[in-house]
Amino acid sequence: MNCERCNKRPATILVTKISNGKKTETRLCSQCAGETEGLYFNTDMSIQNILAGLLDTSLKESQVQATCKQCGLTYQELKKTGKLGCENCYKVFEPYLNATLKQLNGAAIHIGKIPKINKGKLIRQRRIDELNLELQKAIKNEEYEKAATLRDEIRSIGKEGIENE
Amino acid sequence: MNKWYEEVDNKKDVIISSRVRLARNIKKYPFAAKLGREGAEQLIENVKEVFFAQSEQAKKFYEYYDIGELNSVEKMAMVERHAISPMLINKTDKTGLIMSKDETMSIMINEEDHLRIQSIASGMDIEKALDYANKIDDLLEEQLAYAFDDQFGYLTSCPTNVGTGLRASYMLHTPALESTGKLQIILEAMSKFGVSVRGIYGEGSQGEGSVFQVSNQKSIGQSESDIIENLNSIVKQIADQERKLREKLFTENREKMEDTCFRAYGILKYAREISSKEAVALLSDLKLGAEMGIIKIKDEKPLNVYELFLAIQPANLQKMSGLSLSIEERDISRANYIRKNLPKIV
Repeated sequence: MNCERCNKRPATILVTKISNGKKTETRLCSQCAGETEGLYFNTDMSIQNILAGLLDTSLKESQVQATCKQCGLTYQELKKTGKLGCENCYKVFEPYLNATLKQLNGAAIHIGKIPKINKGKLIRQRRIDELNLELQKAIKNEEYEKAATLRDEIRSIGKEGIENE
Repeated sequence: MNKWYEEVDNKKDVIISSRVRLARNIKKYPFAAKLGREGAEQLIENVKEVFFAQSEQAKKFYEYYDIGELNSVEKMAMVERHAISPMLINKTDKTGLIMSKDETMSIMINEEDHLRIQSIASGMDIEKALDYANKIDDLLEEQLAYAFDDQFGYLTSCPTNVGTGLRASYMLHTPALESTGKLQIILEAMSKFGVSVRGIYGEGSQGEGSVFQVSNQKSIGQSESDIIENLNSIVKQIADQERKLREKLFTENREKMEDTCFRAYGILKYAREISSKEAVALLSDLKLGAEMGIIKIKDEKPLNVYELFLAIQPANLQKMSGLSLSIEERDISRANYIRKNLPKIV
């Protein structure tokens, strides 16, 4: 259905007015709604634009200029539509995607500042977790010499922690 | 293209101030809800001791206030100046405040969390504010073991603050966006980006004189610098939109804008009685006029509208006059104050 005012653009906004107990409905396009009703639907402050602007500041100049070689999608196009062009775009626009996902999802794991007292312990714990994973992998691959070294390293980090506390 | 020095001025217009607060709790005490009267008193003594023992500088530049000892006008005046939150003066348990003499740094003790470290910088400079808050935080952390968890980060009374405990906020003056109704659209979009908007005096308060606070919603899952980067990019965009819209309104209807601004100056300059609400609205118009170059201030006395904004709030006005004033007396004294402090225009 086209806009009832200009008859050209598609109607996207339904304006309902009630005056003297009489209800009237007009279907308008965003431009006409802006002109006649003072409704700023045609504002450039759309979610899409805010999001895109957000990402601009977190991306490096080279990333903003990026173009997908496989399908030719440019960062600017992606910014406008929010849609990717092909498989390869995921590699090309990875920073963009990562940033978008981070914006929209978030997590419940603290990744900010750590008090100095907790820092040593936390770093040690993370290192032990890492080494344990490696250890399991080594055992699975029957690399027993490597496993023994890893086991010793884990023990020594653990001991260091006890001494420090 | 603007010159760099013009740029600097330009950036100062829409963004009034930058503020950061860190929520921290001390391991050995229960959180506020279970702290109790005795615990609250001990905690205050503990924090005071640790803070002021740190250095001679601390004694020189900071002061301790026992909130319960202040009279109600003084307390309200502090709230109006954003030095403390309304919550701090409404609590039954003992609350305290350590504040720098220039009022840019403060530590609220026994608010919602044991410690609320706060830092304010003028204009868009939240990095500086965070830097200062971090310094205070590091200082306290050396002596007070904080409640901290590897996964959840800094533990807080309310889970909405857990993680970094950081709330970063900007105070914005956006008259053009407000008057054209665009602000509403932006506000609705904002919550989707983890940013919330409140009036000048925090939660539930109205935006007086087109002044709003914009701050981060999430405090976990992002590092401090990411939280700030996110907030910065949103605030930059709002400020950009505001500036563009100001230009647009000015070119489209110059006379109307000039009329509004000069009228505001006229009333502020000659009124003999003025309410806080009217004065704030007119000061907002005046600020816009000065920033648009419509109103030119004589050099000798710069115009700091925000300073006037705070000074004419009811409690600050009473504090200045040293008297308890009725509403009518306040309106008269407010008009007097503005008349005296309004700079001359060219």
